[in-house]
Amino acid sequence: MDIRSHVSMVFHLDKCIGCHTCTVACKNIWTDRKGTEYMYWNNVETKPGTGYPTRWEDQEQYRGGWVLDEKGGKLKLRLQGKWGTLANIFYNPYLPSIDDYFEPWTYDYQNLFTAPEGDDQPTARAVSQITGRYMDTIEAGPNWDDDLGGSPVYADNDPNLDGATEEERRQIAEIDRTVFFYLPRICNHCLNPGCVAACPAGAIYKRAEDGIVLISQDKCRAWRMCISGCPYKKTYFNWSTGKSEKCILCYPRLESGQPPACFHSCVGRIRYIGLVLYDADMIQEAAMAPSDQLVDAQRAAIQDPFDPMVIAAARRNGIPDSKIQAAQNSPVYKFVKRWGLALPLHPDFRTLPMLFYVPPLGPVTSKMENGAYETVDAGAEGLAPMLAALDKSRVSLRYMASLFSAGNEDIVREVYYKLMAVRIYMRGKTVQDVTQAEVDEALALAGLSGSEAEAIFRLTSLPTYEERFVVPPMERETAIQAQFPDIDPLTRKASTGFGFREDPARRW
Amino acid sequence: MHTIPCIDSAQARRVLGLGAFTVVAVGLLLILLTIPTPVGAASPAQGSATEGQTIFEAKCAGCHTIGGGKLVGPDLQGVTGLRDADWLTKWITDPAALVASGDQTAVDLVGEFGTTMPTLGLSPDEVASLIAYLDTTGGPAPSGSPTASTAPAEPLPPGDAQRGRELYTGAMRFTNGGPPCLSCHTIAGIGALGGGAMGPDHTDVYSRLGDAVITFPQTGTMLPIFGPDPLTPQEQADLLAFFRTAPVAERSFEAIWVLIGLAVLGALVLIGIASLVWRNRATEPVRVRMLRGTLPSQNHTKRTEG
Repeated sequence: MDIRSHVSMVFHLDKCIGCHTCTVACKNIWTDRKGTEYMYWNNVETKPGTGYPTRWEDQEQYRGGWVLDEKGGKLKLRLQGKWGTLANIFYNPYLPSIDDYFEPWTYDYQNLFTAPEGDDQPTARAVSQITGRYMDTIEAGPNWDDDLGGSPVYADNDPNLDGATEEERRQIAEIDRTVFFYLPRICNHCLNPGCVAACPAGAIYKRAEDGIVLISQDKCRAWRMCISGCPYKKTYFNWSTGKSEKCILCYPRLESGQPPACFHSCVGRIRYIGLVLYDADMIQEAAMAPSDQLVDAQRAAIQDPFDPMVIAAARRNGIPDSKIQAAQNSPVYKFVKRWGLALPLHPDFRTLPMLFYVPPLGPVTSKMENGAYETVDAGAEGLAPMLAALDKSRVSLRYMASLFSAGNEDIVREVYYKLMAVRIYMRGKTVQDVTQAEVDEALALAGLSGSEAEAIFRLTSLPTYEERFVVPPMERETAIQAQFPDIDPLTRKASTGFGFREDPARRW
Repeated sequence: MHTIPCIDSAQARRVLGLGAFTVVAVGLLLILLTIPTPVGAASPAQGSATEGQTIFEAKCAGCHTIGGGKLVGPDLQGVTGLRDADWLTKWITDPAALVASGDQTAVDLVGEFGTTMPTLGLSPDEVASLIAYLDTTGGPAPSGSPTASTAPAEPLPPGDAQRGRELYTGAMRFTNGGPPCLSCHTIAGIGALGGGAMGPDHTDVYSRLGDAVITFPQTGTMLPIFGPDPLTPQEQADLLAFFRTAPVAERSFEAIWVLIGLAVLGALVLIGIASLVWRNRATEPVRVRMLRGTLPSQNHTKRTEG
């Protein structure tokens, strides 16, 4: 048992309103520099949709993540092995091009002031931020298919709909009843990151004490294999500095006790951050589990922070008690492990992402009938309407399973039973139009107790700032001392968290 | 008023600093003056014969011999008896200037050897040493006039040009183990690739130097190489025969075309391998192909409209 701590995240998709405030917060802090114009470390996608970069989930094109080699019983990068890296090192054929993201632009605002007098109003034409030339037609943007539910171009080309039946496709696009939900995405800070494995320069590393995946700007050699290796396309190449960059989970903010900017600014308060303890010895096993057991294997790797065995093992690894306490208060542990509500995004990529999503109930149940939202089939008895709603949901369970459970619909169904049971329980308590028998039946089906339903309701709907954001004491000095015993931790005191980047010392 | 002493002391420091600088500068000047400089201490040119011999081997032996007969330039045995030291000094220092001045001896030499001697860039001291060395080699001037034939003392056996070619290219080894000429020289008629570029091209060497060419292995440049492993008379004769015929054979254009053809073929093969290995490189963005509906991974079961 090799217990380590990991700053982990939960996004509650039922609460996301798709306002992109997180995106703007991140953009303004981190990617407003030259060369980063096209980067969105945080972006919000409309699902079903093709996302950013276009069809990033289509690994047949982009070759991200890992595949299980059935014969050798080994985990292999889908991208390439050593020889492939050598053969393609000067030209990686699976890179997304700027056209797959979008060509960033600004507007020629000066023209509004300097245009000569004429018959027409002056306009501010779009100017490419890469070439500096005028762009007559803008063909793509970071959220180009925003709110385009039912689009025959974007929604229909969502890779998660591959294999969907005609009926399922029709339901999603039905006139007046089109359906979509939002998927905010940041770096997942995976336990088994594809970007780290793909980097030929060894420039990417996972911080030992909190699991944040970082790219060393000194070691990066611009091979860009990480961009292909990451199945979520969350590493980006800065064309100006010639280095790759990615979400750093706002570690300078974390180190001063604040949640990351996208968490802090979230209007819907969908984001939760907290520490989890995991067993590093189980990573390989979890990453190599059969497809339908991937979620369970990853849950198993996350350990109970109240278990005395786990606490003892954590102390053996030098994890301070303050962090163990933070792990015990972690909302992430509750959502992921205790309640089993939050699921990893695309566990089929086998990177063990440490950002978990509570799947959205909204598009599954609600639909417009006679000018009003109906959540259940009127007239049906008992739990029948709830179950029927799941099976007849316009976004099929198969689609949700493709996103969150590597195709295992049972796992998604269990989550939905729990989400519905909490609603029925609270409806019985506040509206009181549900019988106690129905409430009991729903709780039994979901495997929840009344107090658990109450706790889920509380952390979902009425959490305080301190309950959503349990930022552990980072104790960098402890981590530095554990990693580099020769360094006096006090030398880092009051120094800048970013450090000073030096020009790369060329090695060849 | 408090500031004035400060200014005074600052001035004082400045004056002191100036004084110290002057002392150091004068001291340095004195030291410099006591060092005997080469220019100042130089006596009128007088050289040592030993130094002269070194200079001769390095700079003159490529074209001249002492008692070895005529090469590019005349045999210098007894040259100090033939010309006076003043003339020799002028000639060695700047031959072109002497020719330009209309000196009859110099003009005659140019007429006889077809070229003027290069300016060697020797200092007066070195010229003096060189003349001192030439003086020690003494002896009578070469018998006969300088224009007389200076063919090798022993007549060479009849040579075979074909064997000479093989010796030149290294297809046949030199008996005493010297390296083949090809390693440093090139000559027409040994194939399109030619030979080395370190020594001069031998294509017109026979027309320039005649039979004397074969004495070259005894010159300063090549002596360190062929001195220990000399050519046999038979090999000399063979090479001479080859040199005689080689200039006739021009470098074959056919061979060059074959070379170009091979290069093009090789490039095509490499391009073919590259396009096979990298056949999966993306030519168009995924988004563009998706909009056109030509992604192989795209699901084509579109819903029916309406």
